[in-house]
Amino acid sequence: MTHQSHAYHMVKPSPWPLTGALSALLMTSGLTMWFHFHSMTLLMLGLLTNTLTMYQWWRDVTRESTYQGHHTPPVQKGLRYGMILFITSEIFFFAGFFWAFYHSSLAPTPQLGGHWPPTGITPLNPLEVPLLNTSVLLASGVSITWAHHSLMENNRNQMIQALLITILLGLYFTLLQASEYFESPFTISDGIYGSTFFVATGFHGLHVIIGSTFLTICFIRQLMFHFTSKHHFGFEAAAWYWHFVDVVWLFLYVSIYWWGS
Amino acid sequence: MQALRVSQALIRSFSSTARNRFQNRVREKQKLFQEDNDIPLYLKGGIVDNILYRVTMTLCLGGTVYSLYSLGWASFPRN
Repeated sequence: MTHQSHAYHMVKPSPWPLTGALSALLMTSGLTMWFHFHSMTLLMLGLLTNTLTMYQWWRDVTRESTYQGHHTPPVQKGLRYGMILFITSEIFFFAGFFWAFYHSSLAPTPQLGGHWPPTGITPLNPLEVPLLNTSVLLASGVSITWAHHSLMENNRNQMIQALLITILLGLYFTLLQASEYFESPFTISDGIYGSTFFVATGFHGLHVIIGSTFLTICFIRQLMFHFTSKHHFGFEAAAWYWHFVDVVWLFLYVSIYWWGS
Repeated sequence: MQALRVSQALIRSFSSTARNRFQNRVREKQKLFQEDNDIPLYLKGGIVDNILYRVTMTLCLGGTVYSLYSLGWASFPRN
């Protein structure tokens, strides 16, 4: 039986890249069928197979690392680079929406009334729920740092508590934002103001939900004793992502909610 | 006296020692997934892995056929 003489992880064949690609086909063709023919079957099938793929693929990564020991220091370094590059790509993604917002708001056209916010738009008061949302996310940044330090100091119960607080704050933000969306006096179809507002804050909200899900997975793994005080990259990746989500919100709050009001 | 008994009861119900429902089963999992049995990783966990794999693949392949059928259907105009 031959053993490898290097520290890298040569992954074994897996069906999940194929099912992931097929689920992408089902989601996109599903959107088409929904938009044009009012049928949601393909879309639902796509979302389901996408979720199944993500669950099994990431379950296998946990098996490769925690149970089989493939995540040596060089492998972990590669994963760190990967997460950093991914977050960088997400920064560019949001940069586009901020570009769109500033393009329209710095030089408002005569059709908008020549000012920003445009005529007819009553913007949300930045000192009400948006300010609360800011404090909620900032607090969650503190609690996740507390969780990390507890983990590094082998303080199991404090880590669980702090991570739970972080997740609950994330949920609170999502609920507050959902109620803001429901109560808002303007909609996505209210000109360029509505478009920039809801696309930028909407994608941010989606990322809060993704981040909260990632943190919840980490919570479950912590309960199952997967993390050690020295090796817990999954948690660090989740923490980096969470801080990124927090920073995007700060930019949104200052640009769209405060300066834009 | 009452207050002391109440607080003691609260501490007993919420103390970390009372919450030790989770045992460290990582060793057992490591043994299971390192067993030399040629089963691929995505099936190595047991019967649930098999079911989940088959359901996922069936839905994906069936869905692909359905999406191609839908494409064919959508390609021809109807009044």
